[in-house]
Amino acid sequence: MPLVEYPKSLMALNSNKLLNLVGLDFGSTTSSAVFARAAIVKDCITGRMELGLPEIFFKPDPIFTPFSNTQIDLDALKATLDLWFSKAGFEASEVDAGGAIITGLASASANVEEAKVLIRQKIGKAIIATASDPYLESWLAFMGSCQRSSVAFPDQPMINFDIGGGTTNIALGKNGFVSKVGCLWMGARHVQVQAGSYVISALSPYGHLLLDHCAIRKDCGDLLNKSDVNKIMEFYVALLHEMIGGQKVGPAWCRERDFEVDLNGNVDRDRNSEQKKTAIMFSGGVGELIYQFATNKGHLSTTAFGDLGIDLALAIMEDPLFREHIEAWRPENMGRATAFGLALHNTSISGVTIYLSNDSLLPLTDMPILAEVPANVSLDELTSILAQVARSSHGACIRIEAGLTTAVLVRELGAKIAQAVFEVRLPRSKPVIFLVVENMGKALGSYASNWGRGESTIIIIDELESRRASFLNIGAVHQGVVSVSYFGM
Amino acid sequence: MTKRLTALASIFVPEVKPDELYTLKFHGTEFTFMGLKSLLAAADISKAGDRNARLAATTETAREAARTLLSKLLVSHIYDRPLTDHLGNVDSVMRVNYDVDLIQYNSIKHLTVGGLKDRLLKADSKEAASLGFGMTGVLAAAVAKIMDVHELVFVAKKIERTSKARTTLGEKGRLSSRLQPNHPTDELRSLTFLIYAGLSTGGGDALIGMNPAIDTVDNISTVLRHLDKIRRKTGAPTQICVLSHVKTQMACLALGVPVEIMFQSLAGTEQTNLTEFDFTVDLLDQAYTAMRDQGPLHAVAKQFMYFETGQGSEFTYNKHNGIDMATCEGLCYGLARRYDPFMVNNVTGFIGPETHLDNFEMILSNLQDHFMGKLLGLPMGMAPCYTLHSNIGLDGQQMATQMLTAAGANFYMEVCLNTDRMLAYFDTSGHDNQTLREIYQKKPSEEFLQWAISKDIFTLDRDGVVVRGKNWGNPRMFCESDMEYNELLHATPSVPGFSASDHAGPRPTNRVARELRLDQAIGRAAIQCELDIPRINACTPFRVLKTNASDKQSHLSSPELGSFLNTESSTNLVPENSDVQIIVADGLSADAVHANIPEMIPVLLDGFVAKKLATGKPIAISYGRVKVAEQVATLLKCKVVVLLIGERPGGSAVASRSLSAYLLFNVSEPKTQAAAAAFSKNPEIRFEYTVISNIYEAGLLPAEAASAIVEKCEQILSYKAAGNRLEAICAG
Repeated sequence: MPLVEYPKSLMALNSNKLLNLVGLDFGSTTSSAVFARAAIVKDCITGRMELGLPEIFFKPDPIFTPFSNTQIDLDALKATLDLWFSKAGFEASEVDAGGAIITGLASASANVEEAKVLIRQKIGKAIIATASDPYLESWLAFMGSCQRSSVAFPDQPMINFDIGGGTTNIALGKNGFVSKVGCLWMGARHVQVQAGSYVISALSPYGHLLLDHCAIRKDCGDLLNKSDVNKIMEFYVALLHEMIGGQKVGPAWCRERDFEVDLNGNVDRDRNSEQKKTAIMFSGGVGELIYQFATNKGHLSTTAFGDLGIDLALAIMEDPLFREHIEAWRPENMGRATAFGLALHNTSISGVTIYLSNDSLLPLTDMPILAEVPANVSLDELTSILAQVARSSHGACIRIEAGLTTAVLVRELGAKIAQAVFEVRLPRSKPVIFLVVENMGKALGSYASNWGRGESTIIIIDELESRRASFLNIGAVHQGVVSVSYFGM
Repeated sequence: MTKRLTALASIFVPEVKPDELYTLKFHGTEFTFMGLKSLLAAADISKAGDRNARLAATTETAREAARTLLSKLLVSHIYDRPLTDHLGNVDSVMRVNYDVDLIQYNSIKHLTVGGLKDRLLKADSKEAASLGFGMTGVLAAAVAKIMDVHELVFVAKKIERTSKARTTLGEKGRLSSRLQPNHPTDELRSLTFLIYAGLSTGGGDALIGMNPAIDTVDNISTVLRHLDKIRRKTGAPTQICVLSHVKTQMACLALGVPVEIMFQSLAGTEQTNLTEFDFTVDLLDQAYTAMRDQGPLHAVAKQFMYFETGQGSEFTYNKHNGIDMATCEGLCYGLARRYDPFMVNNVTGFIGPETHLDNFEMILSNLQDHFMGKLLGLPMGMAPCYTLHSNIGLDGQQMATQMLTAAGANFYMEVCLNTDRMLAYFDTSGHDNQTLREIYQKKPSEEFLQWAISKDIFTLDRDGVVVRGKNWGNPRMFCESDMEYNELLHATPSVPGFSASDHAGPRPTNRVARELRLDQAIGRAAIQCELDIPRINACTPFRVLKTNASDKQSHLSSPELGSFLNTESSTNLVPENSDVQIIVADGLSADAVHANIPEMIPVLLDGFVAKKLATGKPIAISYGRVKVAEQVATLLKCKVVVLLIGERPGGSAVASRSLSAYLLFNVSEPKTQAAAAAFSKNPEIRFEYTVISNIYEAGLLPAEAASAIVEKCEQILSYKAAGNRLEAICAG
């Protein structure tokens, strides 16, 4: 009961628009979820809209990803989703932004497409549900694990190893921005064992490769001895060292990487170096175990999870370089880093003066990003790209590089867009979405649409930082701004 | 022990009497003043607000004549003549002022005002503290006007007004502070940093009180809960408040949110309170009763209301009823007294040069206000503050606090490094407060002091004197890690330094001080900058008009002058019947015009041509205010005016180039006027306004703003509406 009853009219003052944010991560071993809310707030000095500090109001304990033999158990998945959403008090239609991701061995499951459909049905149109996107996974894990530290120590480079059951996602960043990512087929669950023992119960294709590489001639039903486990752990730790050393990792192990350069330029092994040491952090299921052990919050018997995760965590902790960093730095969210990344960091808010030739167009999902062009792009190039938009199934996005800073540039680019759109006869049913870094959406849209007289469907979304991605979802308009979620990196 | 409120209807107020002529012949000159309002106004020092309201005496001799006449009036003469509102009635604020202690009143009613002043000077502390309860705000103002600086300080110092919640304020030898951790989006990390910074300098014992950027129940509840969390975590014995509207706080209280202290801004006329501050005495009574019965501190606090006042708000809204600023302020205090508040904070200086032109006017008003408030029974805190468009600066502010500390002010504001990050003005800081404590040997409230000693913020030296401890000025002490500290610090704008190496004794280091002062200097330069007509003519040819303000100084100190064209300019304008007319005016920052107009004009003209809107030749006006656009619209008979005008510079150099666009829709067509009148409930309405603000490089970029303006003009002309009516139509 309220302390004092007041007329309901006073409650009309209660008008903050809150965005409902969700992050769901279905990994090789575990699945986790984060439910949060954040207000869209206006800076009274600059007039800009921002996403306020999110309130995390539900983060259920991670569960084992439901598998039935080698496939995702769809019934169990649905039951889990129903339970999470019910406890969070969310309806699918109330979800504004965030994402769901299926990673590692779960993404390799034969029925992963059916799982995606199920997740899409459950969590609504505003949400992505994707798999096999290792760049996104690495980025999300960094943001969920290191973003706060990275912003708090803006001069400090940080690298995050998100070690799960099937993959290790790696991201290097500074001041809250990820600069390089990579992904290894390295994880705790390629070799599965009977819980409490080292009797091999299952081997993934990479599990077979791993045993071959380590010259361990064993298969399902065989017992791994201490020497075998040590060999595997030594190899995995060496892989991590190779990644931060920038050396080539055998192509069989390297799923994706965008750094051929020497990451060691940032990772400092020399204590006398004046260069800022790159901080090393770990997340994912193995990361969770590492910090759990490091803070003496309980030791589990090895193979308690039926895999080599505990051995891997202990092996990493015994490495002198990694141990030093484990003692010096504490990431956030650890096992839930990816889910946090999805819920809290995968959504950007546009500027308040976007351009929409038709208000009813939004939300839009799965919009491919076809190209990134400079503000002074040539008319020929622009026409060529817009011709691709015309041939697309449901429209596409074009990113404008940073630098659209003056009215002159806006007028010139707007005029080129207007002409190119006219030349390719871009149909109204194929929206073209320009993503702009600067606060110039309405101005560019005005010129691009001949001040609203054009026939085509043009959307300009501004004040978006440059993010590498192949697709994006655009939410509905709230208080003049839209949310933008990225995937397909 | 809390107060029982006297029913308004049962407060005795003498009948209104016709104005009388007060006359003094002196040295062959006759000085006449018609009515008590006129006499009171003329007796005060000359202040911009009273000059602009044409109430101030125009000569020194006229002022002294008024003071002489005022001194000779009996207290009962003033008591028997309640000042009236614009309709000739006694308003609710005046009525509340008559809720006095009749025993005290009867003991002074036979005295002249001059005699009352002498009695106050002769009285001991106890007597001086008692007499005010028999006085109305008008009488307190009358006495203040005939006192000099020494007298204002001397009498106020005798009067101790303590109040008690978790901490006790106003005791002898104490100087408290209200921490004001404001942020443009109410960002919780930034609030946390600013609170930690304040607590670490021994500040916040009076209150941790934030002015919200977003006044919704959700947001206020969130912030209050966060403040409560910080208070509990640090263990600091103080109380919390978010200075939102009283209605919002009441709604929060109803939801069980920790509204420990209830805040409201007050003015000295009912008309201002009702139409500008949106409250009545009845509503404040409800708020007081709710706090008394249900407030979270009702078991421990003797008081729980917090009011802010300051000379000039009634004048600014032109709702002063012919009453001068100081007398209106006295009336505010009479209203505040009804609720026996925990704190009253005076923010005279906040409005700008239209009320207080310079340091002298600001300082004198502060001393008067402090005296009047203490006399009438209030626990007065002071916030001598300034904006950059007045001739008030840090030095004047510090002179004011030196005198106010001597006069025994209960508390000051504590704004980190003087710059308010949300309200874009300058107030006292934790460094200032500690400096004053050390100069005047003052301490924070005892409850808070013990806590601060336990945290090594303060310590006792060998002689038992309270001195700065090793944690003084170290907000890191409240954080669990460097990461947490850095995260909070990076979320906070305008902090050029707040670590141990950034303090020099109780002051910020020279490096920090120089950086802050340089920012202010850039802001002031933007205000003083003259509009460069050739420079803006390079964008497109402008026709140049002039206002009644003949120079920068008169423009800044009198908004009225810049609100009207001079005769030559106005006679040259004839009806053109265009759809849109662009006007560029310097307002309070010609720099903002120079920085943004070259990017805006081409886009505006492109847009208007594309939309086939007939546009008059653009107009440039030096020393122009927003209201001048109405006169231009009337003379030109245009439908919409786009006025591009420089905003008042705030705390940062970049924001000194911030421009606003006022889109005035001329509702002259009868059907449109009727719709506008019905919507606004103002039958006389002539214009509706849509405003697009924060046009500058860190806000809305000028080219982007221009296209938004074109779109909005098209909407205005299409729907024949602007402002809230247009938004309501567009929202369906």
